[in-house]
Amino acid sequence: MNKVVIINLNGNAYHIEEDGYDALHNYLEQAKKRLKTNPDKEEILSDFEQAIADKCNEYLSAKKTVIKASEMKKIIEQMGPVDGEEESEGETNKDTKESRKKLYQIREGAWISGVCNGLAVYFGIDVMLVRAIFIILTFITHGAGILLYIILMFLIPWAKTPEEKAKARGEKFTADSFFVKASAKYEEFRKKGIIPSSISQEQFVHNWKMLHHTGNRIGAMVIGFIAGIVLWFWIVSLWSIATSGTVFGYGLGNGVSRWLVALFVTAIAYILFWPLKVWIRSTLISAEVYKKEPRPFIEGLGWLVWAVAIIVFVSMSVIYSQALTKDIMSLENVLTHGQKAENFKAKHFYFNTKVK
Amino acid sequence: MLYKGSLCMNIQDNFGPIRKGLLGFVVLKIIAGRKAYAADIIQELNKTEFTTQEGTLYPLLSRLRREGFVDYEWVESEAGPPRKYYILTKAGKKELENLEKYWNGLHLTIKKLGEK
Repeated sequence: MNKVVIINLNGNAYHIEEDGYDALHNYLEQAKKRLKTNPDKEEILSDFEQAIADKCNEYLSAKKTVIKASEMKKIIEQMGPVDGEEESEGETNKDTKESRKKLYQIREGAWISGVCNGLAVYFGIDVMLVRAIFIILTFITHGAGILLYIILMFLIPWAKTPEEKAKARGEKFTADSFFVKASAKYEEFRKKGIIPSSISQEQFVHNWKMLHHTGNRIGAMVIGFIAGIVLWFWIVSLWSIATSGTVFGYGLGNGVSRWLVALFVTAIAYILFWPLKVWIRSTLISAEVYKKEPRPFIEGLGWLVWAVAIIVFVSMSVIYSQALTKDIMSLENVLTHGQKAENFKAKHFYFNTKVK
Repeated sequence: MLYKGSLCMNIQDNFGPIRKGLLGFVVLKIIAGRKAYAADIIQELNKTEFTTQEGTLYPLLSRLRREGFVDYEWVESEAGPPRKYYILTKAGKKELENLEKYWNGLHLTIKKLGEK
């Protein structure tokens, strides 16, 4: 439930969600600035208002009287930046503004959140190089690299709109790229005679988009299926530990606390599950099933827990593998042999005695 | 999820300024073909490589009108406010002829370059 603002577009009243109003206001202010020296400024602005009103009408009906913020943003994208320049001398100014990149997180093709992707685009180097640097950094600093990544994930904004995405690469923003590409495909198919002339471009572009969305939905279902399997394994393992003290037939030796094993299994499950969940979400956003990006704080929290899960998994693996290779099953022996993990000894001791 | 441009995207980019420079010419041609609303012009252009947005078109139409090449008449409509119907003026027709001549000449020049 969002607040609604009533505005006057060229003589008619329109109801817009507050965020949409802000976006529209910014757009028109920008337009005013760029048309400052234009003698037809007022007339052009009223033309814009009318064009926006026309586009708004397409989203309205007897049953829907409010323009959503997302719809208004789409409308503004379609309108495009206002071309105020008269002389081509303005090109040099534009050029310097264009080659100035802005740092954004870029989700397309990102592995996790888009931090490395965004940095790579900003500095003009290869993504894999940035990722490699991060990984090496993490190793050298014993994990602080992950912390750095998480901090950046909170600080750097995502490039959401096509205009932001173009700004991230220092390009000039042109028409909706999907539309342009789909239109090009339409032309190609028409020329090759694959499509008869009875099918209009709008029809084709719409169907192409639906096909694209369906592809994404199917992809999301497949990933969801895999995530479901991970979840199932997790639940079965926990049940197995709780009831019979075994994990898929592997007995747990003496002195190995069930709680710890449960924690271990949970950590593994989460490490596998969380990236899948994020992947599904971004796929569905591409398919325009979800309109909103997840809130950065919540998603950041999810990744924080993920990092913790990795640390838990790695440290427990280290401890237990050391215990196994030396043929030592109980933690008292681990302590006696002066192994590291001093931080854990008290906790483990506590768990051990508790369970026993 | 990831759009990969084809090789010819480079040529599309390189010809960007050229398409921009030709936009006035192209718009005059469309209006010469039939009287048009701004929305019609956008629709026509969207079928071509000259796809344009309102933010670019309206200032352009204003400029063409200032230079005397097009004019508009207000057309009432029942459902909604009156709209501008653009037509070509006499001066506009002349300008279009000149532009066509120049464009064809340019095309011929390029064609002949490098021929033995």
